[in-house]
Amino acid sequence: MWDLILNPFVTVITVLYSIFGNVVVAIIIFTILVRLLMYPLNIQQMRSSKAMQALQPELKKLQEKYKNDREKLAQEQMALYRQHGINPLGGCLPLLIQFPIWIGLYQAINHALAATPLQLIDLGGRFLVGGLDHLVPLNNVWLGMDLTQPPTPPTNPVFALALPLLVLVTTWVQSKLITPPTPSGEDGQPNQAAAMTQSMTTIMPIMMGFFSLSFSVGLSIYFVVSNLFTIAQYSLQGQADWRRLLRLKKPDGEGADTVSGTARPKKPADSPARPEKKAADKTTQPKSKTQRAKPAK
Amino acid sequence: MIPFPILRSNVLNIVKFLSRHRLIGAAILSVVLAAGCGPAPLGTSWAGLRVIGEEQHILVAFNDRLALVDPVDGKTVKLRNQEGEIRLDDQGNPRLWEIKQNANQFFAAPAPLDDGRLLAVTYNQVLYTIDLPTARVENGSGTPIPNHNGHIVADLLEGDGLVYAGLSSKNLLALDAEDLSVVWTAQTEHGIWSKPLLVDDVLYAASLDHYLYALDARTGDLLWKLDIEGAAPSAPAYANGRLYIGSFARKIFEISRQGQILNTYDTVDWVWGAPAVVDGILYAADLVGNVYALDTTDGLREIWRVKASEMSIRPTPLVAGDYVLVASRDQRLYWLKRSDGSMVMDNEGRPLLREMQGPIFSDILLIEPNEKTDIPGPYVIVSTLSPGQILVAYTLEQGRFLWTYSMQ
Repeated sequence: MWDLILNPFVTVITVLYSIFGNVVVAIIIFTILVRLLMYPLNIQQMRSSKAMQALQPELKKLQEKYKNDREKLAQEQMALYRQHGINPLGGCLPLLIQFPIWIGLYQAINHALAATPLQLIDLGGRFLVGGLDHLVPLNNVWLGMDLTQPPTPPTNPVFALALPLLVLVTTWVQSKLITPPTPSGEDGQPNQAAAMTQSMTTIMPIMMGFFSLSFSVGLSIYFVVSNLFTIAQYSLQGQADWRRLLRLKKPDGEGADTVSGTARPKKPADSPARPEKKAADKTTQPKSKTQRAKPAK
Repeated sequence: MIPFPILRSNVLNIVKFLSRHRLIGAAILSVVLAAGCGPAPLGTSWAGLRVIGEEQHILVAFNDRLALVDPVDGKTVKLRNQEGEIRLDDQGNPRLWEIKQNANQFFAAPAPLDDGRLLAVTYNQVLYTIDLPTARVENGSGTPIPNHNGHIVADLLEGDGLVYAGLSSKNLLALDAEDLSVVWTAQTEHGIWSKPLLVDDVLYAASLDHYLYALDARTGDLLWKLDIEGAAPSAPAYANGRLYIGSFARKIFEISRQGQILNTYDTVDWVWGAPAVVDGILYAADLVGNVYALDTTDGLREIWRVKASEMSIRPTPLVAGDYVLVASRDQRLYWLKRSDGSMVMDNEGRPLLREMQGPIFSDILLIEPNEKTDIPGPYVIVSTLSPGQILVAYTLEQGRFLWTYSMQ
């Protein structure tokens, strides 16, 4: 069953290698191709997420209204989704569908590089087209680095340690760019879920950088390319919040919990989200740097 | 029981949460990737096996351990003092011939040296000299091979005071067996994963770079190299003045000692294991389960070909008596008739095969009775990837189970 994903992936990587003669180029192009194939799923996921976000104020109202009747709450929530034509699974399902593809992508690179006897034996029989046998094993040395080994010395030169660092940095940039604006509670403090999301933007890059120390160099290249693709994708769609990433000062009238810049999705004029958001903005205004600086003078 | 609407509400809340917080979803994905799809653990090869001495003790190198196993009962050999008495530890238990290196992994079978020592090497190229009678490691924390990257999965080969080691980093080394210094280095274009073959001071080494190399064993000078069209992870076999080797080009080659291809035979799939040549017949298997018998006296003419297994056959076929034994990734050991490749039947008229706990990749060993090994008849020893069944012994005739050796 798993071979249904893995075998085509391994075949494509090897065909790309036969065309370009370089396994790193093959990994880069293959990663981009797979990400492009998953693009419609990403778009659907993003749209669904945005729609769900826009509904949050109304959902909150429902939760308040039916806080003692969970059955009724569920019915009303479903009715609200139906009314707005939203599939509540629309944001999550694409992510779940992408899971096996991501894992397949990852495993395909591992298999194609075939660093060990067991991996090389496993490569046999995975090619779906003929004439690729003479390419095996792929040349896995690039810029003096053994792509099948972790970046740590002595198996790889010291400069290979730049790759985990690149993984960390690109994961961090990606996390910062795709994290939705942090909504605040009525007390002006970020709510629990938002705080969790924020902490993940710090933890995840460190985690990925740490993992990359033990993963092969080839996989680190895949992580970097994949992260860069996500960054490019969000930027081209105007979803990337570069201002927040660079910690630029927000324009006047915008609270710390809102996201400024071109990426901010516009709410419909009749949406109840706007007045609530403004109210939230006001409560958080004293948290801006200029406001905080004044009492200290 | 949770009412369905409430259950649905809870599920929806989780879905909503993940939809809104894609980053957390991505973090979960990262954890899945890291946990389920991490780099292959170091258990990445099969056990290295070697039969040592007239007692035919089986030396096993697997993961972090080396052990010497008695073929008679499948137990770890007990250490003895000079008077021949079993040595005991502080608790009164017998001391066993076992070496554990927690930080290291052994894949290559150690080489017995002329002076009664063993030379073992880890995956990370650390050499250990071991006193065979006492299992004492003589050089403490080991001696790293200097100035060479890469790993070692190929078995070591000893000969005339030198030890030859193939490295995954394209190098073939000759080490001085006394002081472990590097005597010479030869380079190929890709890794060397098999023990070289030494014939009359010429070293034949197969590389994953698609070439077979012939080198002067004393100096490492290249005598010739031959394109065999595909990666060759096993050493050639030598018989009747000719070399025989299979490769990932789906071919078996007959090669003269001067480096000319004399004949080829097309196989269905990649050939990994070295061929066995017995009485002028070459036996080989491929990675989709085919077994071949070819006449080497008649230009590699096919005598028979059978599909013995549905999965890959990595080990060299074992030819003994009237049988050809092949072991497969499908965890089975098969007895084939040497005459036509058909399955041997047991006493009850069923195909003679034995199922194991794990896939089989190591070569099959044959232990024959002699003055020092008190066994009633020939044994075959199979090694699986399952730590609970590192070695399993059967009688050659009728495949009667004898013992299992585990490393748990």
